[in-house]
Order: sequence, then C-alpha cells, then structure tokens
Amino acid sequence: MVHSVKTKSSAAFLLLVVATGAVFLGALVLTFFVAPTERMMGIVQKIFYFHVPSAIVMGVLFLVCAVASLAYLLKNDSRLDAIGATAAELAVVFGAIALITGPLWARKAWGAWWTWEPRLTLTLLSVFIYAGYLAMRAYGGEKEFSRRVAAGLGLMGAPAYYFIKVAVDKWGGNHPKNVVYGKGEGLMNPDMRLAFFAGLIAVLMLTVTLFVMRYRTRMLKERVDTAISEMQKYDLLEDG
Amino acid sequence: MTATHDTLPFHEVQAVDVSKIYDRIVALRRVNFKATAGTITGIVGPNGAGKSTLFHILSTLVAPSSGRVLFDGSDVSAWQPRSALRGQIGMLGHQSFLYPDMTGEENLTFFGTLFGIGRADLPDAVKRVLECVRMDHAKTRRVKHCSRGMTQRLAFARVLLQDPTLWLLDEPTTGLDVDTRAAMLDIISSQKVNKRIVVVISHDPEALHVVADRVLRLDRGRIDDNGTGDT
Amino acid sequence: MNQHIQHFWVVFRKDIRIELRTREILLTMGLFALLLVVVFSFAFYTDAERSRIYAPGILWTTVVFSGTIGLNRLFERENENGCLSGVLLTPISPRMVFVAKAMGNLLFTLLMEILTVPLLVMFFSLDIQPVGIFLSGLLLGTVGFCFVGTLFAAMLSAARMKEVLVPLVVYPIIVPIIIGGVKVTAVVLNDYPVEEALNWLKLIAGFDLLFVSLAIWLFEPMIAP
Repeated sequence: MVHSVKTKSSAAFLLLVVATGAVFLGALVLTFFVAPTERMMGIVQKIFYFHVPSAIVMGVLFLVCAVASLAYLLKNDSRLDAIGATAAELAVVFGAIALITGPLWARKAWGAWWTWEPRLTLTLLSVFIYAGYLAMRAYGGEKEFSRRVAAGLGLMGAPAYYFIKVAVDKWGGNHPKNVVYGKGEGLMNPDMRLAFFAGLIAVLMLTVTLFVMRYRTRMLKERVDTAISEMQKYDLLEDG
Repeated sequence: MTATHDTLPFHEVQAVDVSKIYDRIVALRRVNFKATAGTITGIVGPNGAGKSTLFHILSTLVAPSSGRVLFDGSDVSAWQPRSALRGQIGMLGHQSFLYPDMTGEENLTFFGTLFGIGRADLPDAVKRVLECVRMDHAKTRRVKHCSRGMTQRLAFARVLLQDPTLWLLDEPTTGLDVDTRAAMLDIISSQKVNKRIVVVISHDPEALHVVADRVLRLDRGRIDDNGTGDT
Repeated sequence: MNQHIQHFWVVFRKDIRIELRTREILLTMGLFALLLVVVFSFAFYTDAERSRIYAPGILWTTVVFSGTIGLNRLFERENENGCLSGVLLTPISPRMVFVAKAMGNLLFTLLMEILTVPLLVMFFSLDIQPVGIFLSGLLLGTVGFCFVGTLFAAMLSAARMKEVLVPLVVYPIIVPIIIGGVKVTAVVLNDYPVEEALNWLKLIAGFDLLFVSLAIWLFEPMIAP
C-alpha cells in the first residue's frame, strides 16, 4: 500500500518535471523566436521574460517562508520548518537570478552595471535576510534551537521586505525615474506579452518542481534522522 | 520554608517515555521516572550518561525530543503562565547561575526579588541563607573572586532562597569542606518534612546514602531500575 | 502589571550596576565609536560643504557598528555561569527579561551617541537645525535597532559565530531605519524642507511599532519551546 502510494506520487512528480520542461522550452521559443527583438535594448531585453518572473517568485517565496515560520513557532511541526527552509532557500536562488540578470539589463539600458534602482536594491537586501536565515540554520547551534531562531527571522522577513520596499522606493525617489518596469513600452507588443506570461508560468512551474524536490529531500532526511534516533532509543544502533 | 504542603503548586513530577536526541547523539532513551513530594531521589551514573540532560528536561527549560514531563499529571503547556511553574523549580547545576561581577549578597538579593520575596523580608532572608551555607563572612566578595567551593555554597544558597517545590541538585557537595557538606546534607534531608520533591545527582555514594530514599542508576541515557530503589 | 514592572526594573538595574562596575560595554563601545569617527574623518573629510553630505552616513554607520558591540556583550553576560537559566527559573516572564535587556542596550547605545554626535559635529563642523527633528530620528532609529538587535543577540549569545551572525541578520532587517535615519539627518544638516524629514520619521516610527512588538512576542517562543 505504502509502496503504491509512493509510486503514484513519483509518477505525478515525473509528470510535473516533464510539464515544467515542456513549458520552459515553449517559453524559450516564444522568447527568442516569436517575440520581436526590442529596438533600443536589442537582445538583452529578452532577460526581462525571466528576470521579472524570478523577482516575483522570490517575493511569493518570502511570504511562504514567513507564514510557515509563524506556523512553525506556534505548532512546532517539522514539516512547517521544512516548508520555511525550502522557501527561503529557493527565494535566495531566484533572488540571485534576479540579481545577476538585473545588472546585465542595467548595463545595456543605463550604461552602468549597478544603479541602486529601488527594486534591485530591495531584491539585494531581501536576499541578505534569507541568506542570514540559511546561515542561522547552518551555524546557529543545536538543530531544534537554530530552527526556531531561523523561524523568528523568517517571520520578520516579510514585514521587513515591506518596510525596505517603502524605504528604498522613497529613497530612490530622488533618482531619475526609469521606465523599465510598470508601463514599459516593450510589453505593448502582444507577442512580447505572450512571451512574458509564458516565462512567468515556466518560472512558477520550475519553482514548484524545485520546491517539491527540496521539500521531499528535507522530509526524507528528517525521516532518516528520526529512524536513526528511534533505533538508538531502542538500542538497535550504536551511538554517533 | 514558608509554604505548607497544601499550598505547593504540585506534588509529583513525572517523566513519561522521555527521549532526547541532540543532532543524532542520544542523551536519553525512553526514560520513565517519577518523584513525589516528601521523597529524595538519588541519581548515579557515569559521565555522559544523560544526567544533566534529564535535569534540564525536568526543569522544563529544554524540551524532550519525544515523551512528556508531567507535573501532577498535567503537561508543561497546561501551566499558564509557564513562568509560574518555572518559579517553583530550583536547580543547582554545573553552572552556578550567579553573575560573576556581582557579590554573593547582590546576586541573592537580585534573585530573591525575582522569586517574589518582599522588600521588607529580603535582607533577612538573604542573611539567613548565607548563614545556612556559612558564607556570611564573604558575602561582599564578587562571585568571580570566589573559590569553587564558595561559589557552590552561594549557588546552593540561591536555591534555598527560592525554596522551590522541585529541587534539582546536580553534584551539590562538590568542592565543599566536611562541615559545610554535612550542613548541606542536613538541609537537603529536611526537605522531606517540608514535602518538597528532591532529586539529587551525585558521585558521592556516602552523601546519597545519608539523604536519598532511593537511588536510580542512569546509564547510557536509560534508567535501569524502575523506582524500586536500592538504598 | 506592577509585578512585571518590578521584574523589569530589577533586571534593568542589575545590568546598569554590573556595567558601572566593569565599564566594559561603555568603554569598548565608546572607544570604537571614537575610532570610527576619526577613521571616517580621514577617509571623507575635505571641506565643510561636502562633509554635510557625508556626515549622515558616517553617523549612522558609527551608531550601528558600535551599537553591535554592546548588543553582543550585554546578552553574553546572561550566559556567564548559565545565569539566563537561573533567571528563567523564576516567576519572571521571559518577555520582561527581553524588554529589560533591550532597554539596557538602548540606554548604553544612547550614551554612546551622546559621545559620538558632538564629536561628529566638531570634526565635520556641522550645524544641526532643527535639533528636535534630529534627536527624534536618532532616538526612534536607536529604539528599533536595539530591540531587533537584542532579539538576535540573545538567540545567538551561545553561538560560536555570533560576532558575524548577529550583524548578518540584523543589518538587512533594519535597513529602513538606516535609510530613514540618514535621510532625517541629511535634512537637518542641509536645511532641506522639514516635511521630508517628518515623512521619514513616520516610517521609522511605524517600523518601530511593528518590530518592537514582534521582537517582544518572538522572544519567548524562540528561546524556550
């Protein structure tokens, strides 16, 4: 019974992987062959189709991490901790993608690799918070304790994200307004819009796939740890 | 020394199937343990047997990985606020719980206030416990300048001042001279009359022989003898 | 409630007493702040005109860096001889322990600022106008910094890498305070419209309100299950 359930879920997961691959491929095709190359930016503009979705996903993952962290502090369930940790980890990954692709864009658009543009600044600072979350788990001491401490940070991360956003927006207000986001002229073209939405869905599906994968790995590790300690408790295994 | 049997918040502490695993190191394995008011339980065992872990779990400051700690049959979480329960648990651990940069007297006054001893009674109470542990001559010495034995006496004085319901004493007689040791054992013994729950970890078989009603052996995170005692 | 205030007061006073005796926090924090101000002066000072642009950043960097020393050290004291366990095994609410420690940090950090600000004013020949706005910004910013900082300093007081970990997690969270504080200071040094400073003050106050409550609430579930 257990075996069959596992097979079924693996089949579903495999399907998810295949679907993600297909959608990603489709998004790439739309990006490079269907959507027209933007006049001013040239080929670099195509970064947009993955840069923006990565940043969006990062924000969503922050929220997931914060909610899971709060629930973990209240319920002390290791599954909630695994959700929080996975979300933080992927948030850092997608934040990093946004941070790497951002400067590529900036170089072409404004002639400088880095321009303290509010959203990029926000992304950078948020990645710091969640990198801190991961560092806390790694170096914070005993496992259960460092998890709780990290959860506290994970919970604080979401309102911090909001306040940082307000602050850098106000701060960036003194800089020349840029037109990259919001009503960027690039998205007036329907093919571009299609590519963008395909990119968004592809990145979202990639996130879900990675999330499931990492979550399962964590829970598996948790189960191994539990099994080992259970065996130790009943003297079926040597210590250490 | 003030509360009577009826006013004590609980009369029994019980560990049910308590296990504790620190990052794959098993400290306690399904420990079942019960101590009731008016009894003194001795715990012996080699180093690394899990004695200190057991104390930290009984003190409620460390949560067990599995199993439960019950006070009069109810879980720690049933006590609200938890600090009301924790205020009734006294611990003399490996560490003295005394601020090194304050004197013995200041430490005791500080903790006495937190224990809820009234401002008017506090100086007398502090004086009394300092006399009990024969430390009144050195009460104005900073703890960091105190010897091991003096620190141990002050730490014991701190527990005396608290006069908790549950006494967790980890190696109370280490580093003490013969007279102080005898005095301390006397005080511990007298807690039976006061209906306190006392648990003593000790490598001092003679001391346990004097005070304990029963002695349990903790080895590799397990209590071998389930409460029948072999004093 | 009275009891809570009494508990708070006992812990708070205890920290002041130890500090008056050892003077380690105030001395190290003060010396470090002084050193930073001097180093920054060498690094940035050119003329009175330009120093008004750099001074806000220098002030807040100095406050946050020096303040971190106090954060770590003040909670470390609770770990000497395991005192925190002793304190938690009393009827005191863990939250009051936290509030007392955070207020202790606030006091020491403010004292450090009393040393730093006049030095900066002197070294960079600054003119603060209006003083009230400047002080509100400094106070509000320090409150948020101390509460968030104390929370993580407390959690990491036993961790081996706390000197690195505490800044690593605290600084990104308090970025709104740093930005806001720098902006408020820039307004009072450069005669910018006061309106702008008030907006930033509101932001910092909002941050404080949320994060001080969050930190007070989080302390108990984080430190002991």
